[in-house]
Amino acid sequence: MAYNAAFTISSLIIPGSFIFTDASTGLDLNITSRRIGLYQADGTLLTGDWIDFPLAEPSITLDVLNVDYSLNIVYEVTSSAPLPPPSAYTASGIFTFTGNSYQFIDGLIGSIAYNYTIVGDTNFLNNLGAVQTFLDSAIRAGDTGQQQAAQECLNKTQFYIINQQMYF
Amino acid sequence: MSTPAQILPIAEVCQFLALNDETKQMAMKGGFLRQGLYRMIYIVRSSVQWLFDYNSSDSSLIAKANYLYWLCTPYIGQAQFILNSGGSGEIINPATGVASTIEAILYETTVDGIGTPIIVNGATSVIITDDFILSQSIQVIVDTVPIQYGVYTDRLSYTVVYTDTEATITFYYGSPNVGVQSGWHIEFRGLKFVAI
Repeated sequence: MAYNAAFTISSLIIPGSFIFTDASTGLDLNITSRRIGLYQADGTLLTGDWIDFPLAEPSITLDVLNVDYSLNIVYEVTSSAPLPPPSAYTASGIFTFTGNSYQFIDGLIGSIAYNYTIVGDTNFLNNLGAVQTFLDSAIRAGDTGQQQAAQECLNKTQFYIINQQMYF
Repeated sequence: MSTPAQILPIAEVCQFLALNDETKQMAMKGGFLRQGLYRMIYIVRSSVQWLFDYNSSDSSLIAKANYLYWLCTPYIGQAQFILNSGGSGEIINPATGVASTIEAILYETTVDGIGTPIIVNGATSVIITDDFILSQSIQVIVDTVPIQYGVYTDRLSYTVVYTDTEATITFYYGSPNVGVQSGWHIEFRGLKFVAI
């Protein structure tokens, strides 16, 4: 039976981290190692190097999302005697993580819910609308595999987060 | 009291009803009191949906969902009808069991001025006399600004008690409560059942 490397990501909306779970099918008794590469839109690895995924673990929690990223996640499985095609030992996919952005907007909504008069500030609503638009655009770009565009939108959202004192 | 799980689909429908309402009003009258409401409902609904998916037991979820529900006034009744349709589509007045339609109501008045109902300076409550007003449908607008629902001492706010024949609106403004002020233009918007 052919071996096919595969993986799943727990959630795209949780701030700060995600769970990477092996979902490979088939059987290869000669697997020696596994590793995970988190590629940013600029082609560099988010953590500077590959992340080792111990063979004994079915999943691993990656606490690397201090800000939101659109990542090309590459999963490589190494075997000392790899099976011939159609077996595949590499899997990848583009995942756009938005938890931090959602959490920021949630904070703003909380401000409005507890103090409705804040919406009287024209700039507050305009800037909130802008953040929501960038977040929505990042999600849509990510859904269609446009990692660069998704990251640009997330960067704009991050700009509002960093400068929130000025914009909200 | 509606739960966040109940509020979210209602808000999704209200978002489109608000947009539809604004489009019509802008075309027919050249203006709409709550411009951008549909977008505000969308933003808040999107955020509440995230919080519900991320952590449905978050302590702030109820408050944010209630704020979203308040934003949806006065489209809630219509949204509930749309969500419940798929059967006969008939609306039944729960108080009478009679097949009914839902109509909008509007009362406008000026404190110490003309209009219905009559309100004087310092009043803390007013009664809207109308049959079968939908629960939680009344929205109060003071000098073109919608005011917040609930009991607050640091801002103008209101609560409503509904019966089959009237709705009693209580105003809260400061501590001690000084009530409404002379010259305020107040609108009461809502929905009611009308037998067909």
